[in-house]
Amino acid sequence: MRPQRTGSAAPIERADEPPSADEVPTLDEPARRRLADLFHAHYDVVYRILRRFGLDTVRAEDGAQQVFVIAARRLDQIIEDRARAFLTGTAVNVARRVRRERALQAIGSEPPANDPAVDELVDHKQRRELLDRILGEMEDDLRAVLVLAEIEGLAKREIADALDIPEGTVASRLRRAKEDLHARLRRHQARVAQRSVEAAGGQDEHP
Amino acid sequence: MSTPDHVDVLAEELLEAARSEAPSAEARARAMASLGVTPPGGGGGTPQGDGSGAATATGGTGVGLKGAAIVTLAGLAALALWRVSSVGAPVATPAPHEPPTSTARGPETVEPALAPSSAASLSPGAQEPAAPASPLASASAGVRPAGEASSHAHRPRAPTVADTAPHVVAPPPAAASASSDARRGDDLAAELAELERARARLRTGDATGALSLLDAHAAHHPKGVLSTEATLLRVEALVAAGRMDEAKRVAGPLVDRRDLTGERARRLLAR
Repeated sequence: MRPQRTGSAAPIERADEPPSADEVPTLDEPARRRLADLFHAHYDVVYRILRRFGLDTVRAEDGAQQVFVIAARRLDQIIEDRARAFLTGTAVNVARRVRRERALQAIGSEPPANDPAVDELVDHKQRRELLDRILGEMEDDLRAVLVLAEIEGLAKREIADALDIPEGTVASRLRRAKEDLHARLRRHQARVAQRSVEAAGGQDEHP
Repeated sequence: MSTPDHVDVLAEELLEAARSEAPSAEARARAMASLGVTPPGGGGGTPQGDGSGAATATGGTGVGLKGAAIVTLAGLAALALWRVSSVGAPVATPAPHEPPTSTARGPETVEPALAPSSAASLSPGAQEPAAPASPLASASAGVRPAGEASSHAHRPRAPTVADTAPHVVAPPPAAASASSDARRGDDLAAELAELERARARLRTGDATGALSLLDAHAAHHPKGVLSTEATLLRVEALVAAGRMDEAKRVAGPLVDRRDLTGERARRLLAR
């Protein structure tokens, strides 16, 4: 099956489509092959987007499957060179829906008792935890653009496609998202520094 | 207080950490089993084996299956040794070694808890630092798998007598870990191939044949990573065979789950 050259690459989640529609449709062999190609090319990026939207690993795994079930149902609408836009946009939609349905809060939306100091961010897991906490505090629209652009490397045109917004809006949101990220990191570092000072003071008082 | 430049560096470090995250090999295999997606390099064709060679993934009689199984094994067995090179991806994300994120299901799961050291967690540089892309390895963003035909060259070496001889000095931990992960990759690939064969059989309308293949799968992989997917497939086959009571009984542990698996089980029974 060849993809049609018409139609939008933007993710379509019609309101009349059950959100839990998770059955893989019966596909003919060429369609199955195409789904496999899409899966192998984009599964990781889809999974990562779901993770950056605050889904834990189990929900991200489920969500990623849902994205590809949707893709399987829309194969004839996915234009070849816009497949990534379709899948990443769908991932954003699925992530938002999962969070809404399960009232899932973004990972780390509450600052942990012991905010890890930057110097102690010794591995990627801790770095991701800090990033996810910050992303969880950001405006959703800014987070989406930041994740797609700065983590997944999509071009502005592709992000516009994925999120169904004008390219100019992508650019302005990305600028604001970066500023927001940096501002939050500065505040994070200030908190860590302050805590260090307090800890040192406490030690002086109680040697 | 940090300088803005320091914040720039920190931001980039955080983003880079995010770029390096990848789903576990088990998660990938579960997704493939659920979607009926065949491994890359296997031609994407429906396995044609008749199940007589179900004892091993490479025992299929059909040429297509055999080829697919070999590639599957090669790809999965080397899961962690390889990283897909980022061909044409705007952001290349070669992932450094990191601990796997938890893939264990909640207590309601019918799957066995996964060992902490998944195949995907193996350091990519430990054994084959210059290895080419693996079709089934944790892929980078938007990367189309490269080097499909190269899988054979990286199939893990079969154990030899020397490997198990008592006088042989134990391999260093890294090598032992690589060997263990390769075995896990082998098991996962074999399991995936068997399930795909059962699914293909069911697609032809032969529910009884599919159930036989699922019995074989259960015998070969009693604690398989894909046991939940196998159960769902069994429910689907039983429903197709009109054996609703059995289907309900088999689906019993799944239907109350509040996740995708639970939804799928309920939908199968509602058919």
